[in-house]
Amino acid sequence: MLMKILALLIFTLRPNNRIKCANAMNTKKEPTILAIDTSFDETALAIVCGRRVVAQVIYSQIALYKEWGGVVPTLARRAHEERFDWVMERLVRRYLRFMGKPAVDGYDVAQLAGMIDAVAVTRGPGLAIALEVGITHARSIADTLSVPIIAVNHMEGHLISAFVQNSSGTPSREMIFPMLGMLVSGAHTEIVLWSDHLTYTVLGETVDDAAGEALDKAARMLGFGYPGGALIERMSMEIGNVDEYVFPRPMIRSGDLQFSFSGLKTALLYTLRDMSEEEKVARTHHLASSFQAAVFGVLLKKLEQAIVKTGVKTVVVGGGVYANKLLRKQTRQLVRTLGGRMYAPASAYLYVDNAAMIGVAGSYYFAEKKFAGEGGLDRVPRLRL
Amino acid sequence: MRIVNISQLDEPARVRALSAVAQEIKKGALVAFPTDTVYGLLADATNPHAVDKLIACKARPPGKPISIFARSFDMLKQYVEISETMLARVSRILPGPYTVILPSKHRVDVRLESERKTLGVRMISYDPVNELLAQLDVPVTATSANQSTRPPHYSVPSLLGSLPAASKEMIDIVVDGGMLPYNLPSTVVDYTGDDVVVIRPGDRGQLVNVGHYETHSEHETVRLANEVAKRYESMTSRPLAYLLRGDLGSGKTVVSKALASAYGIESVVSPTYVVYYEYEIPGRDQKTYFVHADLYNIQEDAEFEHLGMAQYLKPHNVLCIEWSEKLGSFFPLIRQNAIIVYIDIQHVDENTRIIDIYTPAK
Repeated sequence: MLMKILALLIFTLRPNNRIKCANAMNTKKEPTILAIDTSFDETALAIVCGRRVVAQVIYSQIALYKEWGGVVPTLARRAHEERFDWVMERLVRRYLRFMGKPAVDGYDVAQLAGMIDAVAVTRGPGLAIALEVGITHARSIADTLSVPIIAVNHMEGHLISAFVQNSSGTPSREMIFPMLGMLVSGAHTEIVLWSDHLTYTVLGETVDDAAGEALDKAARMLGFGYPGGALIERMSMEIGNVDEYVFPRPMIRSGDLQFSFSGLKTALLYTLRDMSEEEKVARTHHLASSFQAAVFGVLLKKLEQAIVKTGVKTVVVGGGVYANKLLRKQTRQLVRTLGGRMYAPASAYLYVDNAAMIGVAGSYYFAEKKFAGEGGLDRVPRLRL
Repeated sequence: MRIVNISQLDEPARVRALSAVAQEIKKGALVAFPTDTVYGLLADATNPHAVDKLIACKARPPGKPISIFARSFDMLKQYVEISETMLARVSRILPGPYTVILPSKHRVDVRLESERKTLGVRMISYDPVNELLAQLDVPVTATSANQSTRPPHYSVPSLLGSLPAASKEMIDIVVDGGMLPYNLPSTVVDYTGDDVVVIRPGDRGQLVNVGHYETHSEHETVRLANEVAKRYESMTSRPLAYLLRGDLGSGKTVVSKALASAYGIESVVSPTYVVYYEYEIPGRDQKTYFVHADLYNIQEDAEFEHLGMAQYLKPHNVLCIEWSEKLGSFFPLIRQNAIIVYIDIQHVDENTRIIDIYTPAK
């Protein structure tokens, strides 16, 4: 609820309270970066100014899912190539409008000449063919605008999402290192020690399925389709998030910070095997809620162990599974109990794949003049922090 | 544009007011209307002119489907295909804050359907919407009254304040239900499942069983998979394709990880979400890849055209494909170009697996 109001506020405040973007090349101010993320099925472009997002367009299944008329687009539409220009045209239009330029008939990236300091692009992790589209376009845009390219790890984007600001600079959170990053999505589950800008150590990660994937598969086993995580969240909420079945918490006593969710999936499978069809239908909500409780139980326990082990008490969360309000609430409570503080992304879009986070992460590379050389721009589908 | 305020009316008065609105909808009007979530745009889902207006008003990109409202399960069954089992499942969550996606019966404007010919249906327990539906013999669209990519509206002033003039002109009636509670948008649930062409056992052609094993622990399974990988490692004249089959939870990922490990790749995780990950095989002169795919989320055959997996069908590359029965139209290409090793995994009990290795007969 708070997120919703916050998001609405941000949208309403935007037109009147904007800070114009300076061009770093000329004024030594924050860099203006055009960012691209095509790590999987979202075609996302953004223009950021330091930590502020001044224009962005996402061709996304999430936009569809947020509107209540939407359906998940199929992989057949995951053809970034087909929609890249469409997204770029809108980005240019939005940015020029933001800069107070008069409207013109057509929009093209060349119109941004002199207004952009660098192009940032995701080089991994992700789907090889999708990453390739982003990188190829980044090369050609950098060429057109005569600016350098920055290669960004998609996971650094998720990590920095809690510090991404709207165009008026909200939220104005300070980044005080070290921090612990808890990144949980359909493809990733990892705990990262973030000791300084551009310095990361992965403390633990999943050895098989990601947490979001486990939730999606559980929904499918319960007879529901996509998106599993959101469905399970809602059904759990409807019965007060009770945990009646108490499924096993895999790896909870493994002594390290690794995760594994494939055994939990099997546990649900065995439970369902012993149930009649009527029973399954009647118990759907409880099965969903208990499964979610087991997944979250493991996430929280490992985070607690990481905080105790490292003594780092500032926690940033990110990734699609953290769009779940209950998980955010439980994480915040845990971190507070341990005397720390949790930061979460300020807008709904920042939980899922987007280019704004890639641009903001890119601005720290820009500050250190770390640009991608020739080999540094190859896609790395299993790139790690 | 006419504004009808129903926020202060009692039920009989509201029903009378909505009767007039229903008449306008039948004539093709576009109506902004309060719902259980946000303000919506309602139009006769069977009237192309009304749908034209709706799409223009929302500035909705082509190809984005739009749901409809149903008043009852009987009405739902008129517009989408649903089995009795599915109906039992759906009745657990409807009426409620969900949109269910099912195969369309094509009785509404085709632009409301998805590319896959599915239709989203909402059934809610919000009186004004149901009172309106009771007075209509046509389904109405259920889509939020904001422009695509803009946030939704919870009040009429917010709605009128943000829509561009051109969009506002297209709305014939605004029904003001007051300030709506900040409810979350509905959760969309896709029930249409997998309609991908499945490779049946017969399609695999004549097979020779080259190994039948029973393993009693994950450790044994790993060792076996490692041995299998060693056996075929030298076959590099053509790409090597390990096609895995086995139910959810049978241990396909365990086998995949062990196969990868034989090539010196230790960082394998589930590729389900992105369909496949490519790993460069270490210690080789030229760039060759171990591709680990999981086709679990593939929903239609056409997806293979956009996945770029065919580019890996080159000598020295290794493909390891979970849920290979969903290879569909990509299968002939693999059969033609690759050395195929089938690994079928059967789950016996918690620790025991029966693993069969097959290769195509000469």
